[in-house]
Amino acid sequence: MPMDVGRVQKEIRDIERDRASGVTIEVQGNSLQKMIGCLKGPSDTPFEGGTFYVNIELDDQYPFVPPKMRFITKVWHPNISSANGAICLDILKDQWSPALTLKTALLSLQALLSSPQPDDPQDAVVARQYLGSLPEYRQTAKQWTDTYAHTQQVVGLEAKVQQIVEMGFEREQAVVALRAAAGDENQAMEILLGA
Amino acid sequence: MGEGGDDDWFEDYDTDMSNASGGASDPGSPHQEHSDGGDSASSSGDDADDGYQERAAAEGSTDQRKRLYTVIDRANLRRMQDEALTQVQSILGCSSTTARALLIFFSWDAETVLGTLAERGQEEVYKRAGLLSQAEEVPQACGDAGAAAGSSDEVTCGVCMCEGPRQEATTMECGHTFCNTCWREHLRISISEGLSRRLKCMAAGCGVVCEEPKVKKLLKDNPPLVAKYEQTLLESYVDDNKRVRWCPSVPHCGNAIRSKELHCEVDCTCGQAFCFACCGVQHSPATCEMQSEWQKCVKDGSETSSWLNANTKPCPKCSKPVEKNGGCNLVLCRCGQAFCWLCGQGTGRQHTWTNIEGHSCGAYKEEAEARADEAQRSLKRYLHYLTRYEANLMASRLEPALRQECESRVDTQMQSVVTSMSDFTWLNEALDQLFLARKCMTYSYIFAYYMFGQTMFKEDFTPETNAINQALFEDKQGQLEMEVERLSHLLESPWPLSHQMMERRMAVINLAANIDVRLRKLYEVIECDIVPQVASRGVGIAPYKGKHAEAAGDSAQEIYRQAAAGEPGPSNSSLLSSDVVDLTAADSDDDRPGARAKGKGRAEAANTGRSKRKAGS
Repeated sequence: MPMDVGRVQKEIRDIERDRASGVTIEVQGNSLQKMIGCLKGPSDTPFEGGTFYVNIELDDQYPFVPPKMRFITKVWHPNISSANGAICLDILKDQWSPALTLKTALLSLQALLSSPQPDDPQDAVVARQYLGSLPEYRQTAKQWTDTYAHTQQVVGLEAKVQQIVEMGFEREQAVVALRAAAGDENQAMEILLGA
Repeated sequence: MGEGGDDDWFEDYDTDMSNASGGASDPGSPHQEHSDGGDSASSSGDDADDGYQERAAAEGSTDQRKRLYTVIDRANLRRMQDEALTQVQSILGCSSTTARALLIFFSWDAETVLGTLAERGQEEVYKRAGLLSQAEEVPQACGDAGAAAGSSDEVTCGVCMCEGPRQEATTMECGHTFCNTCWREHLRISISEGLSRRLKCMAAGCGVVCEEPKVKKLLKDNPPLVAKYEQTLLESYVDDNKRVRWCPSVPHCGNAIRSKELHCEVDCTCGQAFCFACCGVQHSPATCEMQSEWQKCVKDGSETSSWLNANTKPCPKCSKPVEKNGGCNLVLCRCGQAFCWLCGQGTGRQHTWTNIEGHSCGAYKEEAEARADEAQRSLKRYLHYLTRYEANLMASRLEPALRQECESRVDTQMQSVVTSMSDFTWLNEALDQLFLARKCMTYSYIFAYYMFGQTMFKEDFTPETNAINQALFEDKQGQLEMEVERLSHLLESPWPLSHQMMERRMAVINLAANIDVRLRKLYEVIECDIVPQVASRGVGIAPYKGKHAEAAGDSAQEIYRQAAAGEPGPSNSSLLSSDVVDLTAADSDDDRPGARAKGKGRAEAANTGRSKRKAGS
């Protein structure tokens, strides 16, 4: 059975309507199977002020199976891989329920940022640091947020991304490159062409 | 075998077996391998024939052996599962869904279910098993996020987010309502992913198990899926049950085994013989751990390679291992290359006893020498056990041939006119005993290799206690081995003339009984003297499963008594055929496929024999 397009469209409309939630979503291409979610770093955490992009892929069986989510923005967090952004969160695995939505999943990610669960880590190095020396962890996480997820870099990002996508690059690549280049589209192009 | 003896195992046997053998078992059938207590008790009462008593004794001891485990075939799986469900249902007064969820959660152990309920309280246990406690069941009529107002005719499904008529939506026990289309899709995906055992409600955070009747109703248009669902539920009785395992036969015979003990040797009715704990070949008295270590050892010949490492050096030219067999440190490989034994480097051939021309590689190392000694000792030890293990294994491979040989001799004997002997139960029993002893001998070498090797059980024994244990064990093992060889010889050698046959029979029976005693002594040493000293790890050894395991002395005496009384004497026709029954019974007890096939032809003879005898009495 193909994906339940109606439900996904409703979900997207719902997210668009509810601006206060702090999460947004943007569809990639026409199939509704690939999108990029965006969430704000929760306040009073090392992630405050950061904007985090999440790659979302929907299976044909969605919503009966969980969506596949991965952070595009680099994050220093015990439950998120510092290398590839993979997320360790129960509701994205066996605790997924068809009654959950993309919005609730993104909100859960936000909650995960403010309350890490180092006992069930995705990134052992970060988890060890979190348990061993919390101030150091906070500092690194803050540093990563400043470097990779700072709001200032996001100013005008969409336009730049669009520009790069029009040149024939994948959107995700474009976002990553722009991030790495601190928003400088020329430098981002160099990265993309170099890669 | 007294009636009282029957009674004491009859109790648990009844719950296990009376259903398993079902109504199909005909009390008169000669294939009474599963005959329940009632049968053998009543039949030994109805017939006081001597040959018959022997048979009853044999049956009794077989049952005693079966006592540890039960073979469950496909048809009985459902019945046994339903029984467990009904038991919990009737005590708790809950639905079968609830009972099933509880039993699955507690690995089908009804006692633990009830015990934990009493201990922890219903609410906690129910919650953990994904159930609503009865107190909660009623009030949650209208749901939260997922379900819409109860009275309205339209419901909004929280999954597809569409509105639809109430009659096309289903509310589960927990009160969450979703439309049938979504339920079906959810169930379809969950079942095909193998989650049938715990089909959860779709609402977020609700772990409640969907009710079986509603699941089946929702899926009524998809019979294969329902079948898969039911099958998984059924198989859960085996898959999630610690006491039940599938028979490991390939292709699978469909049977499952329920055992009271983890360490137990099982003979499935399909002929597969295996260890319940590891599902591998039977290996008592060695433990599963010893067996797997040994197999690894035998497979990669690691002891050999460690000896090679310690005693040979590869030739620097052709790389073949070279052993130094004397002389000085200049070693000459078969390929013609000369090299220095100390450092392994290739050299010229010019040398004296003390040095090699143009070569110098430092002092001789004592350490290396000691290592070589140690490795050689351990290899010798390994080879000692390996040889004996393999010799016994080889002998066991010849078992079927010996059995066949004996059976053909019996046939010849039966056809000859001037026969004085017609009962050959003793022969079959002796063969069984011999084969069992061979098997135990084989694995007793593995046991000894590890138990007295001072590696696996290093912490448990001082060298002194180890030596005592080993002496004790080897004494019993030696005695057993002697008897086994004697019996083996006696069974293999040609039969004497018919008038000496009674003597041969007595000798064989004696030896078999002796072997049984020796085996039990060996197990006694293992179980009572050696194993209790081990504290470092669990030592699970399947008990001795001799036919005469408990009543051995009795039945042997019984046989003596008969033999002394000069029975079976007259060779009248009715006795003859009733003795064939004995042989068949012993055959089918054996559960071997070969024995089975043979038993078939005799079954008819046995039936006629029985009817004849009945007519006679």
